[in-house]
Amino acid sequence: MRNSILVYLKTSVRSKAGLFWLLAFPLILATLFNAMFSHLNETYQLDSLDVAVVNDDTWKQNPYLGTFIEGIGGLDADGGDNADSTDSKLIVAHTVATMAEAERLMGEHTVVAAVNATADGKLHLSVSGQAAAKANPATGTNSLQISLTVLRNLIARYNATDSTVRRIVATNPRALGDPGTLADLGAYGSYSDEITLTHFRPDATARFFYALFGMVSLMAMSFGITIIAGMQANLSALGLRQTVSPTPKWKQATAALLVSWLCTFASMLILMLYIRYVCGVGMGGREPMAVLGIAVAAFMSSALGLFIGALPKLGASAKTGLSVALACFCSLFAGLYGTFAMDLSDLIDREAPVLSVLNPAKQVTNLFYDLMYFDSYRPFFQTVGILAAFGFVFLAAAAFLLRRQRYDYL
Amino acid sequence: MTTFRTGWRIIAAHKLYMTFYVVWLCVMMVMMSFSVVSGSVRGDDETVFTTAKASVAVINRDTSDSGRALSESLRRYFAASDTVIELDDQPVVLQNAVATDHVDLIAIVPKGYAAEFGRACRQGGAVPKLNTVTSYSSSLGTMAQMEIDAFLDNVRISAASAVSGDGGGKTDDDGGMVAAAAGQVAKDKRNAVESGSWDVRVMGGDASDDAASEATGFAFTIKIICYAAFVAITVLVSVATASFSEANRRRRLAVCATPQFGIGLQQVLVCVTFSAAVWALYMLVSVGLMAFCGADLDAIPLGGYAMAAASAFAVILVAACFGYLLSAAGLSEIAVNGAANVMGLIIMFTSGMAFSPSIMPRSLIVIGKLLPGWWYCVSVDNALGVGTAQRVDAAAWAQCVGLVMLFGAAFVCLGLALRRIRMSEKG
Repeated sequence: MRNSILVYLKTSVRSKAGLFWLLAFPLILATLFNAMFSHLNETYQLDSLDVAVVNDDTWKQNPYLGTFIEGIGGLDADGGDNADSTDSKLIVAHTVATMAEAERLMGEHTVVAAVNATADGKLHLSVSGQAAAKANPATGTNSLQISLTVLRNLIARYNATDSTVRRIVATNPRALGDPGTLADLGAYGSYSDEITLTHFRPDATARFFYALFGMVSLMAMSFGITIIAGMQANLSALGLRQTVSPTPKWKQATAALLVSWLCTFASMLILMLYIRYVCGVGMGGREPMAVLGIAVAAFMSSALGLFIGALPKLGASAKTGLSVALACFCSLFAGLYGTFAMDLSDLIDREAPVLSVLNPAKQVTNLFYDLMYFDSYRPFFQTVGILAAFGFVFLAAAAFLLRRQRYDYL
Repeated sequence: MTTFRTGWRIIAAHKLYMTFYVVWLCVMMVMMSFSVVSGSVRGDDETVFTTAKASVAVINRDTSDSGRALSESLRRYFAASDTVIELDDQPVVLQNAVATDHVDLIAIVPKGYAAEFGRACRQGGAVPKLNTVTSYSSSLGTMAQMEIDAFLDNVRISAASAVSGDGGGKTDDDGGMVAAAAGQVAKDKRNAVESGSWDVRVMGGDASDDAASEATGFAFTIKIICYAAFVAITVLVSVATASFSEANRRRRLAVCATPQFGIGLQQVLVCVTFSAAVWALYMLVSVGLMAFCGADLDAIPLGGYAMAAASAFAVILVAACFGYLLSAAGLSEIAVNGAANVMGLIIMFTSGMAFSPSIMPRSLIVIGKLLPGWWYCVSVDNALGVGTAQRVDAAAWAQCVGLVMLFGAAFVCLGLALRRIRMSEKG
């Protein structure tokens, strides 16, 4: 068996396809993600909105409306005062005399929205059809959608405060004579403190890196498939010689499992080190447990590779193609393919958790979630248990298939 | 036409590739697009703009009556414009909700909050703060925090006015005063939402704006065709052309009676007809998905469909050209699988398909522009007047499709050169 291990190891390490899929490909993808996400916070800015302000008679009756528009026109994307910089204003106001003129500007795509005053002294926001379609939440978050929603929220807050003050005037007018109450009216503050419940602060971009682990672990099935396919007499002359060799099949299969496990573990470890120390994606300060998780994930994918490799009546190329397709398919539901895939993954997690449990790529991804976000190790060990169970099931199935394989002739 | 029929037989013999790369990728395309398409056509009232809704959970740790009332008012306040999620106050449950993006914001009302808030209003000091936890969707979480600020600001104003003047007088029940104010603020918001004054109206525009919603969903589905094409078409075309390029087979074909030009033309015909078949499948699925989700198919003009379909066919042909390049380079089947998948993923992440171009860094946009995927996505935007395009622009569409086809021409030229070099080396 020692010789088998050495030979399989040399074969695997010298395989160009293996080196590409399990070393170069994950590093390329991780680098792509890093380039994509590294400046996400800096580059994601609120767009200035071109807004028509309907300065009609109703508007002129309330001088505070203009003050409000000037105020938000001077706000930058961070809420700070930046009235001098046109680029970072929340809105760029285009004053018009009537609502019809505002509609005309919206039709010409000069403005995306219009603000007008209502008879009861409130502000009302309208958006153009094109802006509404582009800012549709179903199409994913974009800067226009966020900017319009922020503007809506600011206007809603103005209207709510207006309602509150009018109610006080109606029910308790003397309160407005109190200096303390007047001071409170003008005061503005934050009423919340942001805290972190999770072990580490949630990071949306880290999830894509974790999903990459899921894909790589499944891609690594190709190690096991290649070795097992090489043992099968109907697929190659090498398989023919191995079949008639005195080494028992179980020793050959065990050697295949161990080598596949080692190679998969090594490739995932390299990826983990790259993601952790080059891309700077955290693992909750629990790197040793992440290594344990990788070992279990490698066991599962090696066992799955053995199972697929043992499938009868399929050629070696077909088995490799099957493993790639399975890896891509499972990775979709682990959220690798972008924000929509991630939303789909979250939806399945909530609505059909059984499907998430049955997805090995998702479980490998969860290993790192569990370390990053939960204080307790319990979720992590639950996921480890699920992956180990997968591994044993696949191993048993592979053993069953390999044990029963006979050939009419060689 | 023997070569043509043989080419199709070779493709048909690779049933596993057909199943996984054509059919399964098609299924993936449907799954990824379903939520976008159904969201783009779901419109209870097309005259009302749907703002982004945050998912919010309110956790109450103030066990007093006023604390419970305040928390309930906060929930009702959020329920008027957002989605309120009920969560148990257990560490694992809360961590899981945040880690899996189940909620955008968790607002935690600390113990004794209502009474302390009321005391601060009465005495004029700084009001205590709620604890908030945001998830990944920090933009939605931040907007929900703005709503908390608006809610508590109005509660503070109401409570402060209640302790002055004749309205409420001074009261020893600080918590109760705050709870009453909170109830009133929540009621005011509900009344405003029900009266329609919270609604943002959609106005102006022409028929093309009405179509924009459906077009956005359709465009998303069509764009994913690029990823599917660069995996499925590339692998299958590469496998088919590589079969004819195998050394002994090539030598036998070289001495056969059929002219080489004819054989080559039939091989090209195999690639084109296979590409056309896959294109027809993808277009049928895309339009079928729209119809299944209840979209108004007439909302997109026929010209838009035609241009989008032409863009899709162009990119599928380019994928076939890329497959020819890989086979001409002499790559093994496994290497072709790898290259096709890598190319598909790189195109997906750099073309604006998976992530909006507005959040992509400049370096990635530069990479994207060096690949056909970016120009394909821009051509679809110009065909339908969505995304990066302000309106339907046939001239811009034609330019982008031309660029996409140029990529195909470059792949073919490179493939021919590589094949020539390999043939001359092997003799």
